[in-house]
Amino acid sequence: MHASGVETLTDLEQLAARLGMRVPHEDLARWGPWLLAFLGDLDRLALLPVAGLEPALTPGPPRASGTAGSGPE
Amino acid sequence: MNELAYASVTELAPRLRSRALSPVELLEDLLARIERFGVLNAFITVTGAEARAQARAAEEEIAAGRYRGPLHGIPVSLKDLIDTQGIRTTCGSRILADRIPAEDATVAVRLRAAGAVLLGKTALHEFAYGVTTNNPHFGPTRNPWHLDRIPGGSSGGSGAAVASGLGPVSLGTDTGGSIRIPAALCGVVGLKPTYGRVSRHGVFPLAWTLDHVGPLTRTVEDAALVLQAIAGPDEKDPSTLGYSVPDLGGGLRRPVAGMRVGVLSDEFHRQVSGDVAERFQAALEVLTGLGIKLEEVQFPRPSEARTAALAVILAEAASVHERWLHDRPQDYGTETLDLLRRGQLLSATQYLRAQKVRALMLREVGDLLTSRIALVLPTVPVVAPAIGQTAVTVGGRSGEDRGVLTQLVRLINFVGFPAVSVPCGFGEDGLPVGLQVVGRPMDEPSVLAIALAFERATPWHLRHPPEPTRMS
Repeated sequence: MHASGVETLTDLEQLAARLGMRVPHEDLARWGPWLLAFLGDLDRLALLPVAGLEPALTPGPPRASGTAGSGPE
Repeated sequence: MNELAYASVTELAPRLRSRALSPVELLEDLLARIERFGVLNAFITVTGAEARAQARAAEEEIAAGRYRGPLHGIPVSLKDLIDTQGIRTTCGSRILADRIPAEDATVAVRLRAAGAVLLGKTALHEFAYGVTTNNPHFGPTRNPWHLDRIPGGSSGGSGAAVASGLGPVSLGTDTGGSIRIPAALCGVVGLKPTYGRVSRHGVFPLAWTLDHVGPLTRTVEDAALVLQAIAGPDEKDPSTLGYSVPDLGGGLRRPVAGMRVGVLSDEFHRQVSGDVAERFQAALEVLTGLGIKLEEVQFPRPSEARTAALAVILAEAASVHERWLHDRPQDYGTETLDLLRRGQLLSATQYLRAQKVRALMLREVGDLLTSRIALVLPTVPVVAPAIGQTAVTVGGRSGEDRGVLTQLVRLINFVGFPAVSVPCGFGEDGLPVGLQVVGRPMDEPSVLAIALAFERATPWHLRHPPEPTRMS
């Protein structure tokens, strides 16, 4: 069982609904299987020796708030 | 063969400086060529009037003795997600199809300050979120070596333009290989600098912690010249602060004999097609002939690193597009929307777990480079696939085009180390193959020195695609 508790397309559909997303069923059928497999891969990352590590967040120095690539206006 | 079209910046600059060549003459030659090569669909916008004004100004300044340096009067193009004041910047999207920025991105400001002439805005995969440049809103960009093939992406217009002599320089962006993939598939040089080396201010993000800006050129020296002009601290992008820029032109001429370089030889990095493996092996022999000491090394946990890197790009891209995903989902192409939706379904815990893996990878990949100055590997496991092809076969195994084309480049974005792709020959159907050199953080000079030595020892950068007279 995935740690996320999301194992089936129905689980994904319910998760999307909880997040307020409008995802047509046929779209979910197209990429849902890939995402379910990917979530399994993500669960397995917890087996790596990362428990004591802080998230890197960027490969460079810590970032302060800024305007680099600000996204949608 | 058009003499001006395939001249490098280092060849053009002295002629412009001595006034043997006029920036206006050079620009007009390229503008005519861009029109003639329209079938490539390399540009979204060609800035004819503005470019002519800039070229005339460059000509006057040079004539008045105010020569700014090697980019003065040189036509450059920018991937169409780099903001240009008063010039449409679409990001290859319907959503921003009519957007005209109020100011330049920092890299555009720096290129203008160096005297470069903005030739136009190049085509890209929608919002840079893909590797084919088969754009649902602007049509497919074509590989100049074979018009039915992709140029790679997401900076596919830049790769196609530089390869076909539509300007010696184009700036691209690289989040999961988007400079190096088109460079390899189009047979040109593509440089992804270290994360933090070049400002991302004014460049539309795909994933903030993976995005890099860098040049595509026809020679390694030109890549170094352009990086010299655009690199350096920018208060508008804090990731750049604290790093001075070395003399790249001098640095890249350092001797390479005796350098220790790792060859990535784990199973993950060996999954390439036969023609690419053959070209890579030949490249290794050239490097050995240059006196470089090669040794096989294993990349740590490549499959897990790939999973973590994918989680980061999926989550960050979904965050960038959060509002439009709610308000305008119908305005995305299907491929982009599908990817963004997947990212929306990841949790904060999953994202942060991936970022912990990144911390681990930074340490472990850094260890590989403690006693070695660089790593080498092919850039892309296959030559350019066909436009519209979604599955690619490597070693008898079929995979999604995105996964295969990013296989050897994505992990380098995850750790943010510098990497360059240089042409290393031709594979199946006469299509280009790239050699990738990866270096220590902020050590672009060593990466470029190895790439330059390889380039000078091989003829591949001197070959150019045929003029596209018809659809192949």
